[in-house]
Amino acid sequence: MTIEKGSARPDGSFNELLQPVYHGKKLTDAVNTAEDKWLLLPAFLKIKGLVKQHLDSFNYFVNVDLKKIVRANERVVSDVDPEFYLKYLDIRVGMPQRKDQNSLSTEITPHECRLRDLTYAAPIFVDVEYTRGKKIVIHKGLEIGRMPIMLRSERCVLAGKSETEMAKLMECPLDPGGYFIVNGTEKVILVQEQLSKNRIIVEADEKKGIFQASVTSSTHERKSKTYILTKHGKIYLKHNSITEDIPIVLVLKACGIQSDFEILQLVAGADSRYQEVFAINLEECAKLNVFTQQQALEYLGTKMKTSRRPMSPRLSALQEGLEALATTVIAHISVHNLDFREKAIYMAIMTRRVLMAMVNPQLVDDRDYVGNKRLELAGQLLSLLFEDLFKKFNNDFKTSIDKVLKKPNRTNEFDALLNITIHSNNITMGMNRAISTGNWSLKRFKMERAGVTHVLSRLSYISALGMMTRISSQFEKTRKVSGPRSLQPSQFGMLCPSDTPEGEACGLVKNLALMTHITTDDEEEPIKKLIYVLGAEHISVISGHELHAPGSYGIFLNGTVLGITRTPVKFVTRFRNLRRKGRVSAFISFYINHHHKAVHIATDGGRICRPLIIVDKQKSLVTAKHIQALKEGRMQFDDFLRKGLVEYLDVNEENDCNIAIYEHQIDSTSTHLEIEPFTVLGAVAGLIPYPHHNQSPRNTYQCAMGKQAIGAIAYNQLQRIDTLLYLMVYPQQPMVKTRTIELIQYDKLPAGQNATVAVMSYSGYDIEDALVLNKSSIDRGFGRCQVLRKNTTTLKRYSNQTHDRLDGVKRDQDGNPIFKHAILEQDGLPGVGEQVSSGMVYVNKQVPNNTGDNLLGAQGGPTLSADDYKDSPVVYKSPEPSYIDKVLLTSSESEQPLIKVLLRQTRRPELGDKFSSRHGQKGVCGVIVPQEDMPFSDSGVCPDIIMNPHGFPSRMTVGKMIELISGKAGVLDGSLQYGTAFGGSKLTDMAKILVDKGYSYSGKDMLTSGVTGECLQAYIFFGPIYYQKLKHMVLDKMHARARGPRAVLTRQPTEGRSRDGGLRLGEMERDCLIAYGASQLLLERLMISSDAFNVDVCGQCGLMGYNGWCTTCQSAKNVYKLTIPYAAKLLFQELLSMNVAPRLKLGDAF
Amino acid sequence: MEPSSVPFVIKAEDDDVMKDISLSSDVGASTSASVAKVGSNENSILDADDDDPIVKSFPIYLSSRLASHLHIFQYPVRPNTRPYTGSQGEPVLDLRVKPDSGIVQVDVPIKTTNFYDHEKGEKWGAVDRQTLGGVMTKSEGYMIGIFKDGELHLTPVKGTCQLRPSFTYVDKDVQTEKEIARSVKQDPAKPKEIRAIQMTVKSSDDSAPRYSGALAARKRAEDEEFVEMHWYDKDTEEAWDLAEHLRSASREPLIPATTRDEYIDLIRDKS
Repeated sequence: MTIEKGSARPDGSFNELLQPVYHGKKLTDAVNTAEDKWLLLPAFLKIKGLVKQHLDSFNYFVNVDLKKIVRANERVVSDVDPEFYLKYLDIRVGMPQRKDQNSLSTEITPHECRLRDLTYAAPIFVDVEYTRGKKIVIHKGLEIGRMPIMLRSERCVLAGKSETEMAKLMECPLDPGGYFIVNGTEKVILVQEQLSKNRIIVEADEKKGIFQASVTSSTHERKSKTYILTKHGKIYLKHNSITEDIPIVLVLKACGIQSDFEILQLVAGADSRYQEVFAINLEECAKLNVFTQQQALEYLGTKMKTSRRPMSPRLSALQEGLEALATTVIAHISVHNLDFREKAIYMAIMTRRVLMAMVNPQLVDDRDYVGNKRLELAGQLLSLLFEDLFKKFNNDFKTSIDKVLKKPNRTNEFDALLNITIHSNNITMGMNRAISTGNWSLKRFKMERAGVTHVLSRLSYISALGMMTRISSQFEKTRKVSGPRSLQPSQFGMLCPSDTPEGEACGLVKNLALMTHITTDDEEEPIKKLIYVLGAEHISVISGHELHAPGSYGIFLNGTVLGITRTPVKFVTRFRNLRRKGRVSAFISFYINHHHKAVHIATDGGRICRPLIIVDKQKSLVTAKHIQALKEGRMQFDDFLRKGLVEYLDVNEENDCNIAIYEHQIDSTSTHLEIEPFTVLGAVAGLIPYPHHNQSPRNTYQCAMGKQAIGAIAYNQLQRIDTLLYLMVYPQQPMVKTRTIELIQYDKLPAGQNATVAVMSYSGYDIEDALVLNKSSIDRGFGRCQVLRKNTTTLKRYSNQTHDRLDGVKRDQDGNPIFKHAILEQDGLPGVGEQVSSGMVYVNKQVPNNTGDNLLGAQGGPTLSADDYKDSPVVYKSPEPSYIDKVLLTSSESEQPLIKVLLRQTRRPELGDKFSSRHGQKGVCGVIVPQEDMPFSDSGVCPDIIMNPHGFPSRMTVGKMIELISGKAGVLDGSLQYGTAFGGSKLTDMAKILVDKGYSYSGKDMLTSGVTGECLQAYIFFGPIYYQKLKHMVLDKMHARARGPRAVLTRQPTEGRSRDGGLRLGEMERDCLIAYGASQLLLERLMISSDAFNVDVCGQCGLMGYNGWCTTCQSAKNVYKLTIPYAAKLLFQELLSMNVAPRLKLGDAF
Repeated sequence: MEPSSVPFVIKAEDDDVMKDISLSSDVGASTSASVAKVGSNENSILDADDDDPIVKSFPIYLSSRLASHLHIFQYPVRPNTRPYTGSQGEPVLDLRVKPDSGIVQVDVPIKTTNFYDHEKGEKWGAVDRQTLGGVMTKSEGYMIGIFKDGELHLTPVKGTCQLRPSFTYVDKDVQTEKEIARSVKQDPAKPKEIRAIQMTVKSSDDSAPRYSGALAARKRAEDEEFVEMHWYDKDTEEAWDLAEHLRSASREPLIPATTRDEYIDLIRDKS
């Protein structure tokens, strides 16, 4: 049998899927749809990957958005020379290139950038047309800057590479990509969650009786928010640039709808309830004596906050009002040719929504509803940044050519291009700085956003993966509102319900579920046309009467009303059919909101959507035949999409559908079928076996801990030189897997080991979740890990031609290297494999004494003798020795020599190291027991870990128990079992295997005590559980001090482990001692062991003197020696410095 | 629309909005029906209307004789039972157009017999007529059709315009009041003082302030002169004669040049 290879993913990770036998299913086996439709999921991930949203967004930015930005800013003209112009014809981004053009090959790999602290960036080329003298010149391929490139995007060298090619590039094929490398650090632009733009949101404060409809208008030029709100039962328009709230009727009059009758018709329609509530507003406007458009515009003009630019002309009130209404109020609706009708209708609809909320307070929107949210991805953020930089670039270019063109007589013909390249560094630097600092400052929106980017966490494969699917909310962390933090029902299938941190960011930081897609912007124009073709009536020929007529539904494209229809269901069905046939983009959503009588069509980017199987006539369209084709590689996920078997639904459209979870649940109302229920969980929560048997917070805890587990990071982990790297020495794939584990390939880069666990009490060192570890297991390599730490040194060059240098080895009289230099080689660098212990030098750097002044005879570089340098060595400080793992000598972007030394420590588990199962059950090692003393089963199996049974009752982690039983069955059976959420290996089957192999169905065994040799009085729950070693290790935390450094100012012991600080006797401890009356202990702790200081105090004046002499009284009489805390002495002196004289009154204590 | 060559504007069959709209939606339905005939053998994208079968088919003709002159006027605040026609006793009196900026004004009579405040009317000087105004917008795919002898004749509409009452007389009144107020203020026999004026020379491009979007449009509209048009009432001979032009001259019915799928692709790809 031949297997089609062409369709395989380059890294071959899905080849398994295409093999004749996959998970016990042969190609010829009968396929049951209900069972096997999950196969769509790997097919989905095969084309999508887990970080597809980032890549899509970046690709869209580079391919589409970049060109749009340039088209919007295509002309640069001069103020001086009207003849001159420069026009951008095209823009494109090349492939990543080395910065220095003289190198042998210009191609650069991401790995080289990581190692050499470079930026992985590609040049941005533009084609320009400009005037040179009288000629028009076209120049192609002009570089205007460098764009950091997202790994694995279309512009990345890794795009479409096979596993072998990846290996050649030193890249891990399992690495998800989707991040940037800036100055050698991997930076992720986290997905940002925001309220959707250009949509009306209605909110109510029922206590205060305020109802408001607001819309955040967002265009390329400006961002502004417009409110329509009630105040004392009347409706007003509020906007940042208007000084006071304007009656809504007045605004509508300013839009040219002058008759009260038409206003009422447009806002309230024929509904008398709304008419009644609204009527008062008409009076309000009449009271202001405003009846005509002109009056209204003038009124509006006087209320504007004007900020005239110096050069622009003064406008009359009327012009001011006109300008404001056309451009600032509801800015995303543009006004052509004085036709304000569209804007008027938009405001009328907003007003109507307010009226609806006033009449029925339930008709308000939910801010936390996922359908009202948009996700901002790397591409969008970069596009905002690039547009800002590009505008600045053009501005700078313009001023610099103006400067030249101003000069009346130029000797040679002026070539503008000579001026343009000077500014290209601004774009490069601007992008680099924003990504490396995370500060997004956009001048044109006056926006400043910090913390947009984060360093990609490489603690484990899962932590990196988890970071790529993370979504951060714009919501303030400090506010104590529960709404945005709580689980939203509309999150189902889109955002993982388990994966969120505990504590302050709880519920604000979320993670994407496994099978989600985030849309990019789609073209509106064709959809607009289709809307009319499908029978919508154009909004320009509609009056309020038709708009609000019973049975007529407004058609909204991205929140803007375009027309009405009287057959909304038919209209939407037709549109959906077009989408299923692939005639419009698959990511456009259509849904009906019956409350608002509106058909909403969304093409905008940032909506979360997910694929579902379409159900037609109570039958799933995906049948066994299709799955068969999928298995044989004849069909891909996209074919399912193209054939209209599967479609993407966003949250809003999902609300319009009836989705069956299992095939047998399909009834006459069903429209869709879930592909696989476990996709509600994200990638990180997907590691948990049997999560549906656990108490839900336990799954959340595991999501946090899974990211701290030490394991394999990537295939290239030993090539990497990271600041801190934890690696497990013998990682194992879990006995009890899940489908998610296979899909995200955790089984290839695991972080944990299968430990044989006995759930029993042992020794008393196992209270409070402490674990008993088998010493022999540790000897065999259980929980062993390596810690790799990087040290970077640069050899700087100074302005006076001098530079840092490396010195050789110092030797003692016998010619042996001195202890400090024991591991150094001739070049001043350490030998690879050498052990380095505390106090040893491993980079023997020297710095010139004089780096400022120009040295005499500096021609051709000064010649310095050894005396002109002082030592500045890199010394190893940790008490625990390390080994030199790697030494890298290279040069950075600034061409300065760069030395990176990688230090390695191998650690075996010790008392206090932290371990955790995959069920949020963490514990520290309480005691390490020799194997002889451990209990053993009749077959001689000895546990690696003994866990206290008290961990179970209150935690209710039943999933862990089932994992043990499934794992045990798997071990006995020689198979890996599944603990997939809402499925997995059945407990009865597992029990059956256990019984067949001669074990108890319950997983309990008879054990013999290793200490007494007696049989234990109870059956012990005994079997393998996957345990993770967490990064928190005693060695990194252990800290004690007798004497040590003190702070300079207060002479008190320093704080913190890193400064070898003291252990604080805090306020609460102090309170205890006071209450107990342990005065001498207090005195010792707070003064003697801290900052005791002897002072000479004058009994006469009460001030401090010195050497038994009081300077105030000019006498040595009455001067006494006293011991007080140095901090107290400091306080007295500080008070003195402010003209406050604290005087001590002395008296005899006894 | 070139006012010199075309001294008239044709209105839709009837004056009221409802009728206009129902007319235009009829147009939409008929185009899709003609498509449906062709596409019936294909796997239809737009769902086959099981509950709405094609009962009868008619040939469609396209008339372009009036294509560049045809506009729809709507009166959103006028009930459709009371059109502005001579037969109703309320004929349109005057029509003014600013062709470039698309501003349209229509004068209609006011019935002074009922619900009429003569005092106010005299104050504002708007005694017997009312001005309806609006801005012309480009029509988006609307056509006007006449159905005659089992044939449908369609003419594309150039623009639509909603005409609603404008109260220019109020503005005028306010203006005069302001002027009176100003003259009263200035009057107290203070001859304008003679002041030295600093003369400055401004370069040409400074003097013409660049107005953005809406301001420029308003400026253009203000600068443009109204063109007086002649109005033929619905029942006049001329109107009926012109309506004849809505019938296609050619006897060739429209045949779809594309299949349904191609048509949809065309829409998608064009923009």
